[in-house]
Amino acid sequence: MIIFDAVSKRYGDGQTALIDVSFQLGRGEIAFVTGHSGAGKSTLLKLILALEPCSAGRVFVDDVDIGNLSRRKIPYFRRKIGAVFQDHQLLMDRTVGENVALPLEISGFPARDTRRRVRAALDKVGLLTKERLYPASLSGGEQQRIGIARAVVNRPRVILADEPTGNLDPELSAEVLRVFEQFKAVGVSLLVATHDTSLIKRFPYRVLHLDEGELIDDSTMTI
Amino acid sequence: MGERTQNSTEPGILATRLAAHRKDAVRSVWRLLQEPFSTLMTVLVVGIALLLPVVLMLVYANLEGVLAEFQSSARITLYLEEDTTESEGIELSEYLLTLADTELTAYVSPSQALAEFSSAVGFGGSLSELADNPLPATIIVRPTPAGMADVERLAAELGQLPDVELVQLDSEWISRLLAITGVLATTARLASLIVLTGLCLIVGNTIKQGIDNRRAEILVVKLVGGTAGFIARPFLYAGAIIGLAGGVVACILLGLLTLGLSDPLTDLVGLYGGELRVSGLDAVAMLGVVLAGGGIGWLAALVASLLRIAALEP
Repeated sequence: MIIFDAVSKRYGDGQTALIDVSFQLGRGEIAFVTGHSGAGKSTLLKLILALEPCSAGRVFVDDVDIGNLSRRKIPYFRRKIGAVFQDHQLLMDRTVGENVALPLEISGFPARDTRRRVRAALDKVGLLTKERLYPASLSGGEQQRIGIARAVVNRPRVILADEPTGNLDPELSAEVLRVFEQFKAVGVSLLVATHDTSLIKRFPYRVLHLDEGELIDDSTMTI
Repeated sequence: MGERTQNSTEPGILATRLAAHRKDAVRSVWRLLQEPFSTLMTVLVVGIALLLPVVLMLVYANLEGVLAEFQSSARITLYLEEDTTESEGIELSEYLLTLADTELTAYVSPSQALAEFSSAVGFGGSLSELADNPLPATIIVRPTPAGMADVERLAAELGQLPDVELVQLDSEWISRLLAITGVLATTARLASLIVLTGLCLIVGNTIKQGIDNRRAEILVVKLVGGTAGFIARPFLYAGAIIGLAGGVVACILLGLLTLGLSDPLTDLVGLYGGELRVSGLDAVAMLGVVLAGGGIGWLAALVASLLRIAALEP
């Protein structure tokens, strides 16, 4: 589902974020991306979202070579990916429900289906009762979960999560991972950037460990 | 998923699109109302900017009507040779009436002319002391209503007639006015073009500011796969709404102008022997102004938003 083929990324200021990274993530596979901050985790996710072009090598998502995507096609490509951001990226002037509905609104979903799907997604992250509230009135952990509901509402092929459990206590973190596992079960591929080692211990999935832009460990743990 | 809706041909898709557009339109109105003062200012500026070309157009249209009126009152005066007899003059006058370009001809004998002149000027007494009547016989010709060029051609032709000594076209000032009107029309078109360009810039700048104010939101929408068109939609509605409201303002201002100027203008034209019914805009033309405002607003918003949105990258 996701293929990195000898990918390097250098930013304009000469900083090297990724060096010769290669890996494949199959359909219905979960992998953690770990490493110190600045090791290249965020860059790796940005390349998959076509937010940044790679300097060398190629990135494929769902058999699409991202380097060949025209500007016009990028929005449609991004709809296949559900992304959870570290800083939530919510719209503060819209309700929780409207935030979660955003990807469906963009894709032109009928209102009735939208409502049903939004409620299902909010139910999965335990925020069904907060549908009509505004994000600002919720805690950081709850805002994080709105972001997760928004990422999964479109039933994407790929879910990218940047520190999705950063603000959550261990119980809620495990809850989030269980939501992700439900998607894995229906063939969704998930990349989860985190440095929550206790989470990795509890959910022994594959770990891609980055250090200063290099992929130094790719341990596939068997359950 | 995205492709499910793209491939969908179910009848509900149109309803869904309409619902989405309605939502965007309502959202744009709401956002405009959130900043009532700046919205009002923009709408007034747009209205005033729209007013100028419309007023120029109207002035031109009314002026053309007045000129046509004046043209129909154009007279050609033929001064006959001194030795022309009265019967020759009448004969010539009758002959002229048979021409296609003349509508009315009248022979005025020297004695008639003297009588008219003395009663008009009021020198009755002093003129009667003159031994000879110094006035020549004249034929006054009223041409059929036609363009001024035709009237001039007719006057030149009549000047060639054997008994005619001198031709006077008492409408040279109309020709000059016509020429001035031509210059005015060109100036009006240029001014309108400049004002409309300014109008586009005003609306474009307003939209650009609106986009910059919602920068964070636009970046989020881009992150989750919103196209430039989707992001631009509420801004296009905002541009169109500002334009439509500006058109309404222009129509109201125009109505006030027409009301205020109608009487003085009628008096003025009356002084020159014309008749003027100041015509404002009828309902269809007003609708045209409002729609033109909306169209211009939409177009300006389209250009501004697509340029601006493309520049914002997550």
